[in-house]
Amino acid sequence: MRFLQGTNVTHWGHTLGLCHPDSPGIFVETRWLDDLESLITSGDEVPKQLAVLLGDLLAPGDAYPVDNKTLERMAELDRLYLGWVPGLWQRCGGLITGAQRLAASCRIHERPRHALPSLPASTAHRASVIASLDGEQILVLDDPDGLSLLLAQNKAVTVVETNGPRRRWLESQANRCNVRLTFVESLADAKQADIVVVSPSDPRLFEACALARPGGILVATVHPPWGKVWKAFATDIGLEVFASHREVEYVLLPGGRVFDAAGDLVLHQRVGTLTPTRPLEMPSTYWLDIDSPAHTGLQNPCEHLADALAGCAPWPEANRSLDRVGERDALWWSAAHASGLVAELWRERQRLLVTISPFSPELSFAAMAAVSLSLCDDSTRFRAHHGRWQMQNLSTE
Amino acid sequence: MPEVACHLVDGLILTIARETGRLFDVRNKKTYNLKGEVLESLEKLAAGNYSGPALKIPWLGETVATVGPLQADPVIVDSLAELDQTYMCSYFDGLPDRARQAYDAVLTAHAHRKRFWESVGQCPALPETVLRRALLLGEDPLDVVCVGDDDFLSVALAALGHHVTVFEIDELVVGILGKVAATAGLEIETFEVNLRTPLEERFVGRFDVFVTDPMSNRDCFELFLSRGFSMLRPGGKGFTAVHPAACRLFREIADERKFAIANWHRRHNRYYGPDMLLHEYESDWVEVHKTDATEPQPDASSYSLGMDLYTEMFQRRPMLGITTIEDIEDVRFAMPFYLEPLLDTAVENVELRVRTKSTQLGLDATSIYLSVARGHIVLHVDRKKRRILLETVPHDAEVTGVTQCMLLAAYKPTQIELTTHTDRSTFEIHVR
Repeated sequence: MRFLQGTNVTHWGHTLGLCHPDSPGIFVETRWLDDLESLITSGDEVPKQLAVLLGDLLAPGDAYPVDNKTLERMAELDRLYLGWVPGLWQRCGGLITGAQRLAASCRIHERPRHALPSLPASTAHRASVIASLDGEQILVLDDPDGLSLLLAQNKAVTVVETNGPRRRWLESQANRCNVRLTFVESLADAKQADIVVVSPSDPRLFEACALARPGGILVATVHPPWGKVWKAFATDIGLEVFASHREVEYVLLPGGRVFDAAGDLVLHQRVGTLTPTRPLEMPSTYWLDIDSPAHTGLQNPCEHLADALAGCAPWPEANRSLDRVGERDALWWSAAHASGLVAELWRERQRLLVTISPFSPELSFAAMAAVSLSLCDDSTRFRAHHGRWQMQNLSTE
Repeated sequence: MPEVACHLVDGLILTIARETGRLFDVRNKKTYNLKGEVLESLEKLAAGNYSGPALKIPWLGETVATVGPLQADPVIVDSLAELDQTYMCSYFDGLPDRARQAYDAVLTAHAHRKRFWESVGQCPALPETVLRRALLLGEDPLDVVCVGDDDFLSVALAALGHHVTVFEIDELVVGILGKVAATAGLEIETFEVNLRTPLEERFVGRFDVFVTDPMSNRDCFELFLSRGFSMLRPGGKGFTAVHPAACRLFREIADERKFAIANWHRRHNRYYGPDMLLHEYESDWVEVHKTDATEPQPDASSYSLGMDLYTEMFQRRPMLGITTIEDIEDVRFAMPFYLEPLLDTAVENVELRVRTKSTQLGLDATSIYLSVARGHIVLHVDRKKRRILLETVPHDAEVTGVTQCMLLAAYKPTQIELTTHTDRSTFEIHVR
C-alpha cells in the first residue's frame, strides 16, 4: 500500500498545493481532493493520472494519525524560533508537544481565512497566556492551528466554525484528545464570553469584540502590517491594552517554513460599553523583504514565483509581466480587478522585494506561500520589519 | 558651571559619526545635529570627564552639564526597562533571583552609556537580550571571553558566576565596565585593545567560551571569529550574532574555516538606538564549536588586513517610495484614458526610459505598471475607495515629486493634510 507521507496539502480554492520539505511544491486540480484524503488516511489505490502527478511523493508505508516527518519539522522550527525563550519549554512543554502533534495531524489545510496558522510553540504560548487569564468561557473566532483544543483541557471553549474540513479536523482531534468543544456556525449564535480571541483581519471584528462581556478580555494576534490600524481601532471602540507579548506569534507557511516577521499577542480589557466606530481601516500597502532567496541561478526565477503565485492566489491571474535588466528580475502579477503585486529580485545582492499595493491579506499570505514554495531554502529569510507601532514603547505613543 | 567634573544631563544621549554628531533628547524625543568643536567637549561630558568652562549650547535652551561623576541615567533606565518589558513579560517572573539581579546590573551598565560611535556601528542589544544570551551558557561557571562588549554581556555573565575577560576597543565601555563591576562586586578583567592587532600569546587557548557580536560581513566575521576561536581551549565553544541576511555567508565561512554550527537561535537578539527605541536591526544567536580542524584566519599572531569591517549586508536594498492620496475629488477622471497620459508625461519629464508598461482595468480600480531600468513604478487607483497609491522602487525624489504634483493637481487640488514618514527602508507620503 502506498501513502502520501511527509506531504501536506493546501486547498487554495482553485488548486490543491502539495508541499514536501524535500521536493518543490506542486499544484493539482481540486477534483483530486477526495483521492488525496484517502491517500493520507487509508492508502487507497491511486488513479493512474494522479499517481503520475504525485511521483515520488507516494511511498509504501502505513497510515499514522500523525505524520512523523511533519512532526520533526515542527519541532525543529519551534526550537529555531522560540527554543531560546527562557523557561518556555519547562512552563509549556506539554502544550508545545500537543500543538506540534496537532500541526502534524492536520494534513489537508484550507487557505487561511482571517487568523494565520502559527508555529506550534506560538500556539502553545498563546494557549498558556490565555489559560492564565481570569475567565472560564472562551470564544475563538477562527482556529487554524488547534488553539481551542489546547484551551479546552481546562476551559469551556466555543469555536465559530462553519461545517467544513477544518471543523471536521477539530471535531476528530477533540474526540482523540477527549475534550469538549462547542461549535457555532455564526457569531449570531454565539453567547457572551469571558475571553474572546480574534484576528484584526476578520470583518466580524466589532461584533466579536462586543461578545466579550463587560470587564472581559479580548485577545488579538496582531501581525504586521496591522499594528498601527489595530491600535487606532481598539482605542476608538473603547478597549484598553493591559499586556503585549511582542513578536511571539510566528506564521507557519506551506512548505514547512516560517515568516520571520512575527506578530504580537495583545491583551485588551473591555471596560464598558463599546463605541461603534467605522470598520477597521485596512493598511494601504505592504511589502515582503526576503534575504538570500534560493534558486536565483534559474533561467527565470520570477517566472517560477509567478507560477506558484498563480496556484496560491485568491483570484485567477489576469496579467503577468516579466522583465530582466542586469542583475535585476522583475515580475508584475495582477488579477482582473487590478489588485496585484510586484516582485523585484536582485540576484547579486541576494534580495527579493515583493510589494503589494493595495494591501490584501489574502494576496499577502499567497505571496508568502508562493515565495516559500518557489524561491526558498534553509538560508532564505523573510525579513522582519517592525511596524511603526512596534518601534514605540506602548505607553509613549 | 565651575571647573569640576561634570556629566551630560539625564535624558541626553550623544552619537558621533566621523565629523558630525547628534544629540538625542529622550525626554521630549528631539534630535539636534552637531558639528565642530562642541563635539569634543560633549564627548568628554558624555563620558563624565569634562571639567572645562561652562558649556553653553544656546539652541538647546538649557544647560547640558550636571556636576558630579557619571552615573546611571534614570531616563535611560526607565526607557530601556519599558522596552524590555514587552519581551520579558513572557518569562521574567519565572526567573531565579540571581538572573533578575543580573538583569538589574546589565540595565545599570547600559544606563551609564551616554555616547555611541556611529562610525563603528555601535548599536547595543537590549538588556533583556543580553540576559538571555548569558542564561544560554548554563549554570556551571565557565571561563568566558567577550570579543568586544558593546552590550555589557560581561556584566550579566559575571553576575551569574562566570569568570569573564573582555577585549574592547572603546575606552568609554571599558570605563563603565570597571565602574559597574566595582559597585556590584563583580570580577571582570578588561583589556582596551584593537582586535586587528595580534593576540598576546597568554590568551591563546585559554577560555571555555567566547561571545561576540560582529557586523555581518565577511571581513568582520573572519576577524572576530578568528580571535574568538584562537582564544578557545580545544573543544571550546562560541556564540556569535549573525544578521538573517548573512545566513548563507556565515555557513560558507563555517565550511571554509572548519568550525561546527551546533545551534541556531533565530531572531534572538534585539537592539536599540540612541533614541532609546527599538532598532530595526536584529540578529540570530549562533552557537559554534571548535573542532580539531578549525582554522582561524587571520591566525592569532597576524594583523587583520580586512578593510570592510563596518558595513552591513542588511542595508543592501533600495529604498521604497509610497505615496497615498486619500479622498480624491473626481473619480470620473481616474480612468486609464486620463491616468496613462498623466503617468507618461511625468515619466517624460524626468527622462525615465520605460522598458515595459502594463495596465489592468478592473470595475472599480485601475493599475498601471511601468518597469524601468532600475526598478518600477506602480500607479493604483481605487475609484470605490477614492484612493490613489503610487509606488516607486527605488524611491526617487524627482519621480515621486513630479508624479505626485501632477496627481494632486488633477485629483486632489484642495489637499488638506500632507504627512511624510521616512526610515532606512521606506519613504512614505500620505495626503488626506
